[in-house]
Amino acid sequence: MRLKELNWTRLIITGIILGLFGLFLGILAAQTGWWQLYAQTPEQPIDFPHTKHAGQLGLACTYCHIHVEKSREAGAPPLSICMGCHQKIATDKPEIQKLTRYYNEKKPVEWGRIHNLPSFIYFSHKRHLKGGVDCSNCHGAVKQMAEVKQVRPLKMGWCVSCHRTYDAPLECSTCHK
Amino acid sequence: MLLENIPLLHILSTLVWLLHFPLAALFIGMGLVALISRLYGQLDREHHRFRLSDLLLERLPGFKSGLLLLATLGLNLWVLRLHYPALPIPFLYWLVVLGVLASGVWLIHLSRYLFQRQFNDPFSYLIGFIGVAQIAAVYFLILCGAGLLLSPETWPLLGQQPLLYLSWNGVAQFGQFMALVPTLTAGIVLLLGRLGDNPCENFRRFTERCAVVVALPALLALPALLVFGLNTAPTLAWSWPLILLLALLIVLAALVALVLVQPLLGGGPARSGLIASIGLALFPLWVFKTIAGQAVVLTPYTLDTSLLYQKVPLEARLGTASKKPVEKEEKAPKIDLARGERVFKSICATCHAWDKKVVGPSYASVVPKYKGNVDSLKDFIRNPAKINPDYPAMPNLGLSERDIDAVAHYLLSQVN
Amino acid sequence: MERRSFLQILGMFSSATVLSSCGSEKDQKKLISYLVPPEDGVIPGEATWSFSSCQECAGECGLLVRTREGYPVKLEGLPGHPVNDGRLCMRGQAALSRLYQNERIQTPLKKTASGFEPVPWDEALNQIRQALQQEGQHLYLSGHTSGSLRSLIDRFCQRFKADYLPQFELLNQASVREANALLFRQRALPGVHLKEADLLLTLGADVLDSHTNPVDWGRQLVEAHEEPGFHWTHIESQASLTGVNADQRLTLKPGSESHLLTFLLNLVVEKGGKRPLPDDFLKVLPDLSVEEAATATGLSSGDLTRLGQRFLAAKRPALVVGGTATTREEGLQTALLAGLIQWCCGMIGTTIDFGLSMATRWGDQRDLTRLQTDLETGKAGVVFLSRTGLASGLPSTHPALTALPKAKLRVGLGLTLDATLEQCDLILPIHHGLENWGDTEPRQGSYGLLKPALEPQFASRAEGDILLDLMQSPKSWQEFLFEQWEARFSQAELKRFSEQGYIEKPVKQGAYLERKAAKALQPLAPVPEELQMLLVPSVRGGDGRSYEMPLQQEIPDPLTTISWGQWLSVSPELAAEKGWQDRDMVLVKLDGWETTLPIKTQPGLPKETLCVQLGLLDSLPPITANAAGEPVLAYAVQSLTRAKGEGPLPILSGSPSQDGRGIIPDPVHHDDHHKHYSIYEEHDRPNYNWGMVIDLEKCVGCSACVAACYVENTVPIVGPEDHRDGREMSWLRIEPYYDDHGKVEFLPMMCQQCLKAPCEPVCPVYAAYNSKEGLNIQVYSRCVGTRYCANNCPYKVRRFNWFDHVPEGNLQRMKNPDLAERTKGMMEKCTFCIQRIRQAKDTAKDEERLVQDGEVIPACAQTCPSGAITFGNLLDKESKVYKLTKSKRAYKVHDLLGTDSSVTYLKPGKH
Repeated sequence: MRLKELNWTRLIITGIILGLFGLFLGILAAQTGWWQLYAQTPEQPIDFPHTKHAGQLGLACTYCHIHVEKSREAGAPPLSICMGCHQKIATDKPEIQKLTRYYNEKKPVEWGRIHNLPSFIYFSHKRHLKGGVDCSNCHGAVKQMAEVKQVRPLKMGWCVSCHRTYDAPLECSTCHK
Repeated sequence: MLLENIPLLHILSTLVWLLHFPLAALFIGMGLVALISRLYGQLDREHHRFRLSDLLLERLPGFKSGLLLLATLGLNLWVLRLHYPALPIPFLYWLVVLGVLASGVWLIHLSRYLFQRQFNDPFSYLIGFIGVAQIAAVYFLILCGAGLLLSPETWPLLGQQPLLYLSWNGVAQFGQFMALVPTLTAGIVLLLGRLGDNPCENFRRFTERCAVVVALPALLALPALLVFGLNTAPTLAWSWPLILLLALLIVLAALVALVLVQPLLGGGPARSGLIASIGLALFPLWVFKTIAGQAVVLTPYTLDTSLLYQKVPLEARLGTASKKPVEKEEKAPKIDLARGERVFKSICATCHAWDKKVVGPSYASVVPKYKGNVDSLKDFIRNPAKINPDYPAMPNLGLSERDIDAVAHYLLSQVN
Repeated sequence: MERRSFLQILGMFSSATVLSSCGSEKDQKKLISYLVPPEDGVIPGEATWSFSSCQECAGECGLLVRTREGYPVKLEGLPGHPVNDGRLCMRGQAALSRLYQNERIQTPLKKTASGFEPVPWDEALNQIRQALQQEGQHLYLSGHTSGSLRSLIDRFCQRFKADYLPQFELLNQASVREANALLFRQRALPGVHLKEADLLLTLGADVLDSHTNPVDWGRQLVEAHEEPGFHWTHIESQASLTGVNADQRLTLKPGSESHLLTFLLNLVVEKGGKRPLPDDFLKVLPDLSVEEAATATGLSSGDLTRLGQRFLAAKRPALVVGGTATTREEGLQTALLAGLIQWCCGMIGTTIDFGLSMATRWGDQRDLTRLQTDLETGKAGVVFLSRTGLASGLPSTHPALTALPKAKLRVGLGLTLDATLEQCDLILPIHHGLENWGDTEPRQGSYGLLKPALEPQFASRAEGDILLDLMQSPKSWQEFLFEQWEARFSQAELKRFSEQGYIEKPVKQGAYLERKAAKALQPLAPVPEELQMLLVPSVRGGDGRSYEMPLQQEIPDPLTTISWGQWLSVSPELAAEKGWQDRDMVLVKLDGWETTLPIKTQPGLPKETLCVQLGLLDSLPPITANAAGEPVLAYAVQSLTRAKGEGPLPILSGSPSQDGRGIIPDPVHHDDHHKHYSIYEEHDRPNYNWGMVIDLEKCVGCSACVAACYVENTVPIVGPEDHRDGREMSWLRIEPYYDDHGKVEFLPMMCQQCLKAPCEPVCPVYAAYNSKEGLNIQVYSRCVGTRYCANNCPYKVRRFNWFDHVPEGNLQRMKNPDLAERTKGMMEKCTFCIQRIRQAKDTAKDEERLVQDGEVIPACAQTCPSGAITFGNLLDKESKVYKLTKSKRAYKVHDLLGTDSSVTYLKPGKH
């Protein structure tokens, strides 16, 4: 009888402990799943190295990202800018051939978006550029990235701390439209 | 220089952390359990508690350990300074961290001294608790710093907004540390229970109960704190090693918890050795987890904070294809042919050659036109216009004025 | 046409063809590049504007279309356009939803035994070509069509020897047109120059609801009222929005309109008008004394005498009849008498202008009889039905409809598979106006341009292209258009046309009285004694077609505040007599038709009249035509009895009365300028303090502002259940307040952006705060849905998203990307169009200056046909808004509460 009681308690306590740790292990697994599915740097259709273009060739950011100074959206560079040089340059490389095929078939390239702000945020690239913010502030040292990754948190706290430092507007309605 | 041995320094400093944290844990854990056990013992007149307290105080890491603690902390802070020059570590920080740590250690020792001289009055308890609190507070600060290492973009702002030093990730890490501390202490307590050739059975059972009270809540909280820590870290910091280490920590903590409660459920004497060793092993795993997070974040891409928060005027910035010419430096217009040659070889050569067409026309066919007219060549390079329909448009390369000047002079020098 | 001139003209119109969109939407997983950077400075994230014309009614107002990333998101009036000058009515604002409605036909369809099946274009067109070669009288029936398309249809019909039947419109104003044809040999609706007039008399013509062009009328009325001495009397047998806004409103018994006009004409002839009435007419003109007229019309002799005096005293009067005055058996008589009065008072050529006429190719119900005859005798070959709305405008038992199957091939052209197209064998989807090139001629001498604002979404084609293809012409519709324009305009005019989107080439057209018309005058018909039911057009639905758009039912009717559902308007006297209340179900029996409807009492409605709005009935009673071919929409009611139960009508206003709260202060009382003491500190407002002034004198309650707000801010359409629960979502609402005399004033109510807002201190999470510019900001992502703020708001303008209202399918493209998405659990409210303020500030900052007065216009102010709403920076002492706030008529609603609202109202002055 005494043995039976003890066994029950032992079972229950063991169960609770295992359950609790198992729960958090499960949460960890779920978070890992989310991370793998949604938070990875997306695959790009064309393996474009910024190291070569922005780094080695020293092309200006705005040479390709033409809308950054004129609009709130940065947008992706139009293919005609790529073809401006790549009609003749490096045409033997498979990636360039892929690019040329996209252009000739008049198919737009679907780049995987890396820096993604939620849709309820108003962020104007033009305003920040005119305010003197350099591209690498928020996008990191892109010139050194063979594959672009998001290296800044892009969270509200970070935006607000920079706004605080540089006397930029701190009103909620500035960004929360 | 020393900095070239960075990988070695990284390994050394990690090893130092591996030594430092368990030591600190012993100070905090043993000190705290000793004080509380003594306090309860005094209130209840329970002699086991006194005995435990005495044993703990006896074996509390001594003066030399305290010095080692300070030295290792100082060393690692200095190494951090070397690795990350952008990270501001003001003198005040050094003072506070080391000073308070030293003070804490000294106070604990003072308290021990007083207790060992039978001064069991409130004053001794007070300074003992203050000492422990001071050491804990120092680790709160240090672990907030560890959290800070995960967000290098905030480093330049620390001067103006020092409160950015604190972070939820720091709180999480501190919580994790404070959960590991009782685990180790519980192991120590259990070991103490089996001291000597003929350990007292009741005392042993007392230590078993005490260990559970000390460690079980912390162990149950640990997985929650680990997941909290994962969530407060930037997603950039996540990596497979980090997650696997977290999983391993949780599994080991579960194991320790299970083993710890066995004695109370009639499972025979506590496996104090096992508990103590796992409790100790949790520390290196925890340190590796922290390093894993930092290793992914602290890459050259994120560490390049030189232009962060700098107001760069539109015209002077590299990257403006604006109409106004780039005029960064107005130094003496020395003709730097060497520089020109460098630009020529690295940038222009992609599309141009002297005698044949690559992408753009050969130099021989276009440069002679600008003979004697450096300025118009410079204008062209600065703002290339599409002239010849047979060739693609030359891109505006955003060269600095110096580079344009140099390469234009170089090109023309080669024509003659 | 030569390729060179084609390209030249094309270059003038510089179509910005967007080859693909850019991933400028945040939260999008893909970032899609352009192939070529778009020309014309199209920048992703920035809007582009293009010209078009509204096709919702025959008014054809000019549009400025705001396009984001290749999809139009907002329609605005085209400034300078001769018809609407930058304003747009409620139906026009809502018309954007027709572009994106999910019911649009995407490919040509063929009728089979099991329904409709998609067919390729070539097959469909071949079938039609073959059928056109066959024997038979081919017929073409279209809805209102003007401009080059009309010319093309003419050519098409000439080529295939088809009969281009006069265009079908349900409310065809045939009586007035027939009268004008008989009297002045011009079968058209003349325009009105109100600026010239000092007295406007409208009989039945609902000029602010749907008659001709309500936007133009609204604008002109406001301008006319600026002249002191202008007076507008409206006489009607129902209660319309037009009537309640007139300076003077008189109601007469339905059917007595010709008696009233006979009385007036007699008066004019007696006292001598500007032109004498020829003897032919004098001989047949019946005599009518004041007393006889009073008995017939139900007006008092005093009213009649005064009316007559005013009419005679006017130096430049204008008389317009239409609406319920002419959709009657005696409509032609009424119109003839009106024409004669217009002639005798010298209105023709001064205030009434045939040079501005419209509706010159409209048919009437007699033409439908022609169609019916052709069909029944089996002569009909191919029948084209293009944008007619035939089956929705007519009862299903109408002989023209029942005879349709007798045609050899019925081809339908339209946007959606409505009741008319369902009758067809072959259905060809056509472009929506915004996807199409084209031109309009809303009235003589005015031309509007249509330029595509987006690539066609489906495999539809332009009607012009279809016809040219059938004619096997090598030209495209675009080429045809350019050809027409080259022929019609000079190079300079063409350039202006392309730059402005419209051009005006005034036409002078006089008129002479045709004596032979006297034969058409008949003796006066007796006024019916019994209760009459009138089918009336409305400001929301027009002739009923606009009720197809859910937004039009979501926005409440301005007079009754009923949103969704159908109802029967009865006069309060009748309801009191029968002991009925609002929402009681009644059974209305007409000759050969009956229906059960809930009632709503309408103050100001004559006791003899019951009204139902067109478009709200499930089935129409039989429609006959009067002598001119106008549908008779007045019916003798055989019985009116209470049926069981109550109708679930959402009546959105809590009470039609102000309950003495002075929300619209009685001009006689007071002056309530209180000194406010506040416990709050004054805010520091450095650059801007946004404020708005609403002139209640100008506001007519047309709800164009409400529709504009809905579209601009993508306010969700919630539906009848939520309305019945009181969960309306409109950020801006029109509140009608009736006084004891049945007169009604309209108050547009939106968030007052109080400087000392009661909603701000009660939010537990600081989601509502007051910005440095005087706006009350609601941070959507911070809101947790406590709803305390809505509780505290004295104006009840805060709206809570009880559900996620996601529009279905293609309608999601109407979302304005400048605004955040609000999801379930968030509070929302009017923001003074902060997205427009932000845009203006962005532009100003680029130029390193402050925003100037007039740069920021919220959607409501932009579209108001009367220009009642003014917006601007109150800190700018030169701004229009500031000056208006200093007006003697200025007041704030609930001023006593100390909310210090940013919206100032101007008391209505006259009534």
